[in-house]
Amino acid sequence: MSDTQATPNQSRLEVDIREDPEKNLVRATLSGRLDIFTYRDLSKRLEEAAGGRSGIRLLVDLSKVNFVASSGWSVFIATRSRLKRGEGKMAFAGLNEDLTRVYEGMKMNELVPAYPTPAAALAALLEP
Amino acid sequence: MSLSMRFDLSPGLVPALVDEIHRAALKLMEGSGVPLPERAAGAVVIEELSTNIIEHSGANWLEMEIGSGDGSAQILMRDNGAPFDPVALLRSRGIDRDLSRFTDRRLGLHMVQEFTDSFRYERSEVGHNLVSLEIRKAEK
Repeated sequence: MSDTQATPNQSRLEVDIREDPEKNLVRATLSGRLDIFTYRDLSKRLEEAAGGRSGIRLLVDLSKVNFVASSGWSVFIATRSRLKRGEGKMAFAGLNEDLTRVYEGMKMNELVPAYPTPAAALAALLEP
Repeated sequence: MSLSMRFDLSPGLVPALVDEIHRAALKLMEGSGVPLPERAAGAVVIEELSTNIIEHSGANWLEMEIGSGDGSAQILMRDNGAPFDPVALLRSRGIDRDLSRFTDRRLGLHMVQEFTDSFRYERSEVGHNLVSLEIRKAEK
């Protein structure tokens, strides 16, 4: 089942969310810019998709994202906290060089692992 | 070497203005020789500070000056808004090293603190806010 509903700032950030209930997996593919204008909608979409069940595995594909402002990173931190309470897991995929520098600089790697590709992130999330 | 630009903030907090400032920041960093590893942090810091100014200060202009010296990036932001001291605000919150606690917009100033080696504020005699900072050199 997929949810590709448009966001109010769709030209700024596109969010495609696909769920695989059998694997308890949610895959969020973002494209564009995650900032003060788009973070609220992303937060709501992630909460709807990954907020209810326990043990959710959330893959956030950032390979088409060119910038994440502090408001965007705070959404990921909040999402990770929520997942952790429900014994879920989360991983990033496809961070470009700039995103990686910020991700590592703020030690976000201590909260959420990042992998070079969605396939690698998926493999890690699906490990028992 | 340093370069500067001035922005009219009358449109308010709208995407076009934020994008204009972001593009200018990247151009100024490149033009003034800010090392590549520091530009990503610089862009995030500038976006955080400028959106705070646009959103909260009532300023109708913002000047951004970016320079590099000894391989470090120095940023100066000046606006004519109401007095706002982000350094004092950070100090009042105390140091919190637990990133997992920043699930709201407090993360922005925390990131400014994490990515800068010096972060200073002063209110000028003519009533401008001046925020100066140096981007921390990226770990190799």
